[in-house]
Amino acid sequence: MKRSALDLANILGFLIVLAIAAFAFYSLFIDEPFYKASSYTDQEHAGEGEESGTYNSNTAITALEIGNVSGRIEVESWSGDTVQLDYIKRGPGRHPDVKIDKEGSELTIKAVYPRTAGNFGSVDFFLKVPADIDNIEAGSVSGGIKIQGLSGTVKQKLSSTSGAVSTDSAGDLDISSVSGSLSFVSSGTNIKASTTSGRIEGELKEASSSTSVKISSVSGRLLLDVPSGLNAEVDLHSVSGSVSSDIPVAVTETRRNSIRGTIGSGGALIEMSTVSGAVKITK
Amino acid sequence: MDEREEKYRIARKRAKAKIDFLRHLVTYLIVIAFLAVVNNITYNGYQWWLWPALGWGIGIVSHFLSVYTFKGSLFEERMIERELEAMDDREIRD
Repeated sequence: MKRSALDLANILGFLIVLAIAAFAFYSLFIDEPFYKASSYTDQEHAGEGEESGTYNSNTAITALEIGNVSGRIEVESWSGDTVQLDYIKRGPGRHPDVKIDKEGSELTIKAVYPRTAGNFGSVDFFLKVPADIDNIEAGSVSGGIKIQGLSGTVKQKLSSTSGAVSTDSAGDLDISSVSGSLSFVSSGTNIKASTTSGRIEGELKEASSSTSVKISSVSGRLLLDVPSGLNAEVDLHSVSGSVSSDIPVAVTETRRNSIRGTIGSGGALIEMSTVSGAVKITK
Repeated sequence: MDEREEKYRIARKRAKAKIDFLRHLVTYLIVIAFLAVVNNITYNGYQWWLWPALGWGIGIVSHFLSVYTFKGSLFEERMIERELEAMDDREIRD
């Protein structure tokens, strides 16, 4: 059958529409079904004052990701294997939405802001999570992050732009801030802490030959409390601040405001560096 | 009406149906693209534009089928021809 250019245009256009409709169907009914509670968006825009809400995952969660823009994130352990979120939206300005996605045992919680101009409020997240959850990733732009009561095996990645970040028990840890202070206690083997203008206070609960600790700042003071009987290679450096250790270090190389050497028989690796603050190892 | 006029009339009707479908298609694409852009400029959460994209898309599919697959216009033409033939037969019998 002979086809005209009009026929070809119609058939091509029809195929495009078919693809769009199929995508819409997949998105609405299969990928993230609108009628299932696993995807939940609290869309409450109008509030100027305070508005609170609660969500429970109802199934066991092993990995948690939390994203906030303006507001605190506080996580503490509880005996359940589910995650419970309590949030408080605050004015002045329009409230952000709280978007929650659950995929298997992974839960994602995010504050979502309309892209229109205007004044927007903040939202604080308060979470109760299983103490032995595998992984927590939390980020906030202008709010602090506080993690409490988890087991020493929980892998954590915590970051904030302008708030203080702290965790009182972590496994492997990646903790960072631009202008907020950092505080951590970790039993992990891979620990990274960095800030631009805040101080860092850390405690290493245990260390083995595979432990690696890297702590850095531009204008902050760095303090690291280490376990007794530590065996580590240390590299401590500050451009304009003092460098010291309460534990004897067999110095292998010394320069101005730098110490490089071995504690005990060596093994673990500890690197601490800053530009304008003091660097100190304590016990 | 001679055969050539009849063919011209049918061809014109078919072409009109196809052009109408193309107009419908272009309108759909422009409006849905507009809604998707508005949705994502004003709010990056819920993708509400998918609902009209799906509903209207079903309409487009049925329009396409009526123009190309079921050939509604041809079917209608055949029905008209049969009615005319029946009327002619009756006139001859009377």
